[in-house]
Amino acid sequence: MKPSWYVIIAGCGRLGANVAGMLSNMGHSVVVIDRKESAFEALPIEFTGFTIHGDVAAIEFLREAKIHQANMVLAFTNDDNTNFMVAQIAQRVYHIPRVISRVYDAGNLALFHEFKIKTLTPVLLATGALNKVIHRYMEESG
Amino acid sequence: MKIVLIGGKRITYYLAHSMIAKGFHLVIINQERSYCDFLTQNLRAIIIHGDGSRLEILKRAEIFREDIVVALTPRDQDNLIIAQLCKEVLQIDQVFTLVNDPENVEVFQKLDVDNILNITENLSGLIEQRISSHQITNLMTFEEGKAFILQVEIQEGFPVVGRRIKEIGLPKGALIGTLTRDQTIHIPHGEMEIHVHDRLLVICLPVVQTATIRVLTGGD
Repeated sequence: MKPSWYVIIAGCGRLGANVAGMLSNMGHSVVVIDRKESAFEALPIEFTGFTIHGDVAAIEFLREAKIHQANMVLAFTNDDNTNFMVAQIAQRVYHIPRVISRVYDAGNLALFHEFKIKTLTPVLLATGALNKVIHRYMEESG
Repeated sequence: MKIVLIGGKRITYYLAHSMIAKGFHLVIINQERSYCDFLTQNLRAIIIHGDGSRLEILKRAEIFREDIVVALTPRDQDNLIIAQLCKEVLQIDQVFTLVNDPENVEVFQKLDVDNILNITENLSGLIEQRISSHQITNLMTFEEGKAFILQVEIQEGFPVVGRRIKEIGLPKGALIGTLTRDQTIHIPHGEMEIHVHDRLLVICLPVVQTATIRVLTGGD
């Protein structure tokens, strides 16, 4: 049997909400935190976890989410500075073994890497995927 | 040496104003264009318009190791990144960081942010001190509680009244930093006599706190 993890997702935008649904589907326990209550409406039907309405930049909401028990923390808000803070708190204060931070502005990547934070940059992923597609088109057209 | 103030509104303006008057060179980084215009017109300082939590903007301020940086934005996550960029990337020794939410102080310390400005705590301390009817107030702790400052109001009947500071037998590990009498602050020396209504600020280590209070007040 696969282990069931406890995962905290900071930020319930499209990415956070979808990943929350995916993790629920895989059988993991998920808590999603967002400062806008309406953000939780984006959560898909398969989401079975909990939501916390609060600003993740205030440590009290991370504590309320029992961050010390998390197996994985995903910093997925739409603000790079907030993600940087959440990721560092998870990694360096609570020693969470798996921390991934979304980075909006690719110009910030070097900073995140300097602080040894694992990153996810949707714009780079999309560009990379498109790059492959375009190469295939070029080959097909000879 | 220059002082770089990042973010913040009115407090930044007044702080800059008073430091310029004291002869310091100031650089102010602010994200708001119209506020930068106001600062440019009203202060003799270098004003940089931009997001101070970004390295390329900080680099424009040409901050050197001996300079002082103060992060004053209303968002703790911005102040954290400013502090860390300045300390770890730009190698600046003296960085002061405003922490808006006192609950964040502990994590900032764990993330190696020093010189934390905890204004909420300071203000609440000042207010408590005003409303407290006690003769002794614990004003603040520093170095994570390894030392603190006590305020003692000298009352009639205290054993130290009428005696010189060098005679009162203050324990080792305690020091009278200031003595306020008739609204004048003195940095007292051993020959100074303690009077009723004097207000003392005493720096002391936790181990001698009880002994210090006993020496000054006669009680526990």
